[in-house]
Amino acid sequence: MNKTKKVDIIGKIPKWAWLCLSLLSAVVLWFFLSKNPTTSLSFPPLSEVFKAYHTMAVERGKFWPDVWASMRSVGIGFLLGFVFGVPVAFLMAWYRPVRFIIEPWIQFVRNIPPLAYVPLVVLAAGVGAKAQIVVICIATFLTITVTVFQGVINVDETLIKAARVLGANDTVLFVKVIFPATTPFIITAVRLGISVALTTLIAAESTGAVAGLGMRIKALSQVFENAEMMFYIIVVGVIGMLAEKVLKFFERRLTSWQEKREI
Amino acid sequence: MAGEERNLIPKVQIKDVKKIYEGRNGQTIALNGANLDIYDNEFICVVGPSGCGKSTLLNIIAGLHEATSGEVLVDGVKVEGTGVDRGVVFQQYALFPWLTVKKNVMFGLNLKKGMTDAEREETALKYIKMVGLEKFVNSYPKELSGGMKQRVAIARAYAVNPSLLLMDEPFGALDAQTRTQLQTELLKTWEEEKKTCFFITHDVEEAILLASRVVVMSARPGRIKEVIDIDIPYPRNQETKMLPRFTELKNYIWQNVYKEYLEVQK
Ligand SMILES: Nc1ncnc2c1ncn2[C@@H]1O[C@H](COP(=O)(O)OP(=O)(O)OP(=O)(O)O)[C@@H](O)[C@H]1O
Ligand SMILES: [Mg+2]
Repeated sequence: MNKTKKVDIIGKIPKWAWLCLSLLSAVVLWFFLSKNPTTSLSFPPLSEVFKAYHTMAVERGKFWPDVWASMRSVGIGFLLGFVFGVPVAFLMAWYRPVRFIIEPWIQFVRNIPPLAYVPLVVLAAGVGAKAQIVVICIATFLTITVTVFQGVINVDETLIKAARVLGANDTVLFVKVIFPATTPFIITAVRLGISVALTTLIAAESTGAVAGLGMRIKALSQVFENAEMMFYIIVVGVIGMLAEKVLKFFERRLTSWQEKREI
Repeated sequence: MAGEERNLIPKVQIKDVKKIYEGRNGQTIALNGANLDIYDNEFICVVGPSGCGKSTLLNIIAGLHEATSGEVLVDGVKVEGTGVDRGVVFQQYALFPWLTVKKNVMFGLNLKKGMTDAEREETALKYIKMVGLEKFVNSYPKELSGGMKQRVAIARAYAVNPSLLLMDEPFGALDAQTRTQLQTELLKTWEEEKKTCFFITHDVEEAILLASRVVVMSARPGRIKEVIDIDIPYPRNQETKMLPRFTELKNYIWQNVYKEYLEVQK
């Protein structure tokens, strides 16, 4: 009883207010971290981090080209990973031999840190944008395949039976039942895929990129420009959050039919 | 007479159907030679202990499973795979959650050739009305109660106009009151739009209320133990349960089924 009362109060505070509160706490926490002698080197004062935008964007003219370069690799790499990953996932679920052959490969590669196979990619694709795209594509492909595959094999058996007795052949079954039943998983796969694409940036851009958020973070860290580096890190995080928000919006529209637990 | 002629060719012939499942822990003999003839417009209710192969038999008639040996003929034709002449209502409703009530009911209609979209919609609405859900045409399954979901499933099965309706404990997951309501509705529908029904239930009362014949199955390995004529005339309703004959039949079938339950316990 006590619990429901509490939940009520928590529920009354609007979402945006929570977000402000969360942001405010982060600023306060940052403030203390920047004053604490052991952490002050990693956490420069926020004012300096903001100034870093000016340094990087205006004085050095690097920021926007970096953003553009990274977004291009992430975008193309992710798209390729998606375009290959979704059909492979469906093939694996549909034809068991495909699954038995490919699944071990995926499990094998999935646990190797991308940084480890970057040199191999560079050997094959050369330094530059192509190698970056390949690295991101591999990482997103693996995540998307695994997630969508789970979704397809989890499609409720009785739905398939119901469709069959209503006269559905394999094509209809796939287009009208399996595919819509899998959409929530496909959207989750996109979310995880984007997240993986962003977290693979540094590895991808260690392939001798001339511009990019990941490459710049590494470069700045080597010359101890901590405020600038921190600014870049924040930018990567914010990009991830924005992508998540956009996807949430689509998710709500596409999967509103789902029964959801109220959390 | 037409009736006699009809009796000559059963609607469904179940001929010595055996089903063996190969599992990790060896074989399970789910059905061990089931034989039954079902005639046009009959309402067959199947009762029997859990695991005796009722669902297995239904799935074989539906063409969703294959018999290990023996065969099922529907209208004299051997069952091979599913067909729209046989509709199925599942215990778990099995509605497509991403489709509205109307779209769910139209699912099978959309796969039928030789109908215009307007006709499909009209047919769907007719059956949605039949189950009393005209106010929920555009609702999604998640917005419906269990009883309402099962009504949609029944409308969806009826809409494609199968001549044989297979129902696997359709009311099993519902509360007693909703159950009673749906039984009455189903009786009414069956009397209006005669179809051959094959209905599985755990509830002996439900079986007697609905069925023209009750089939009692024996504990695993499943066989058909006894077929009991329910000689209470239609139309029936919940008051039918008060008839002395009803109680008599109930006691008889109960004892019969109970023996099988005891068999399972052993
Ligand atoms: N796909 C399967 N693989 C292996 N064994 C199965 C399979 N389906 C059913 N069985 C077994 O076959 C037997 C009969 O199952 P079935 O589902 O037909 O029983 P049922 O009479 O419908 O039971 P209930 O009343 O509990 O629904 C059971 O022992 C079950 O364990
Ligand atoms: Mg069953």
